[in-house]
Amino acid sequence: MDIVQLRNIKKQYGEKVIFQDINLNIPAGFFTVLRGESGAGKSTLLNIIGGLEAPTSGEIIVDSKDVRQLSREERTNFYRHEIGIIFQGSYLQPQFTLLENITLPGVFAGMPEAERKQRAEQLAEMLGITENLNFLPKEVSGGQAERACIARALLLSPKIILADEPTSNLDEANAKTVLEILNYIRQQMGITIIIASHSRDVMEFATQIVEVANGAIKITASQNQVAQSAMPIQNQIAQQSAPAQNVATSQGVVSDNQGNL
Amino acid sequence: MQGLENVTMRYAGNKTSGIIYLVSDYKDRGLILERISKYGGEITTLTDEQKAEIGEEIPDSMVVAKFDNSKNAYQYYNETDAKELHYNSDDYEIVELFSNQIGVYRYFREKNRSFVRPASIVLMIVSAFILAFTMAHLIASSTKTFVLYRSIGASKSQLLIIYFVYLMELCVRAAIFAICLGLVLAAIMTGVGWSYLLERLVEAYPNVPKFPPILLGINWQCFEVIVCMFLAAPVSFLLCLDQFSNKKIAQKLKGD
Repeated sequence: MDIVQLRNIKKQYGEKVIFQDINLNIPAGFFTVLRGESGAGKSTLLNIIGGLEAPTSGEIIVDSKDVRQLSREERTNFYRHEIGIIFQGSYLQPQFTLLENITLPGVFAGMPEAERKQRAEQLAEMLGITENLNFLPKEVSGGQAERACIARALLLSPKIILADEPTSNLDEANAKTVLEILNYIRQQMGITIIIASHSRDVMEFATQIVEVANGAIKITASQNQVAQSAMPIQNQIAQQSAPAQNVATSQGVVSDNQGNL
Repeated sequence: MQGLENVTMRYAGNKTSGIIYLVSDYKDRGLILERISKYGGEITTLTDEQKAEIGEEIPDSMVVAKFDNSKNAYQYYNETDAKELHYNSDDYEIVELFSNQIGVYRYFREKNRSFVRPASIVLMIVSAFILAFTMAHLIASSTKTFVLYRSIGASKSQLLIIYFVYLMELCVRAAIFAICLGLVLAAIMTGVGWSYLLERLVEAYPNVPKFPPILLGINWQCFEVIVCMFLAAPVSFLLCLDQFSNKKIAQKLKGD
């Protein structure tokens, strides 16, 4: 089942045409990477999928809903329950602690305080930032801040995660950890991941690669890549004969191998 | 201005131990008595010593009254009830004896009305608009926060409330800053004009013990400044209301 369908999307700013007649289907549970040079339109495409930016024409169907036709209330619910967005550069509110940042969507959605705190702590444990929950963003590393952004995006259990260059400000090790986490989330929670990135590291996790260039797109991932990458992480670990009491990343333990939060 | 007025009043008040003597003349003596009573005054006769100080005879047709409340004395003097009591204020003469409290009050009031008040109103409006535009600009430039809140599920009304509260906070800061600035300016004026003011006051009120002419004072204009600063919040809010539209949010996202 395709969770995202773009039909005849056209986007232009004034006279400048960014996209012309784009059609794209993203199946549920995929790890889709939007690739392209800077200025090719990756972020614009991501914003269009997330309903943050309107196309000049065309249809955007996300989880069987036409994003352009959503009422104000439906749009708010769409942001709360359908998608989680991770912005470029670990964007956290500097005056709030990590815990407060993570629970912010719950505040807007009217989630009871105890419930949102419990959920945030579960996510923090899964992402390995429990020790940092009471720190301000400036007091933690880039990788920890990025994990907090992921936790915030996951708080209300969205069906899709949209991430704009999530590894652009991270060193290689942290970048890999973040990508492993996103892939783990996809495999264990069934969340569709859509990333705009020009990093080569992202490609190894992709089940679908969408090349964005010259106002058009081209899907380049092979079925073999898809099959390998879509394999549950426990199986991959088993294939590598590694003991798997916990699902480990290069930066630390993220969860048990049953995917429990 | 209020501080200077306070200091002068204090000097003037000292001369008569705070009592204000007013002599009134009008064709209807009954009306004079009625008004004196209305404003809490008391009819009195002058001592020989007081008559000597004045240096001229007060006709019997005139009524001398004393007021121990300066506010009531000002109201009596200002004849604001002419319409209510059906008398012609031009024919109703009132002169202050001994002290110059009302004279000084009127002097400052006229100065205030003719110069300080219009200038302060213009300054307040200008500063309120500057503040409003600055705050509207601040909101328009907080692109990422705006988009972030929307994208993590803040409804339009929640966004509006967040930014309105934010604006109010800015207004409180601006009002505190304005009051502090006023205090600093009054302190500077006190420092600069200290000796000159003291000299003039002692000259005008020779029998009064000297006390420092501190120009710090609070009047209604302080509250007007605060109200004005707070009015800037809804104005700036209206100025940036379009920033909350979907189209604008998308533009911001693109421009960031």
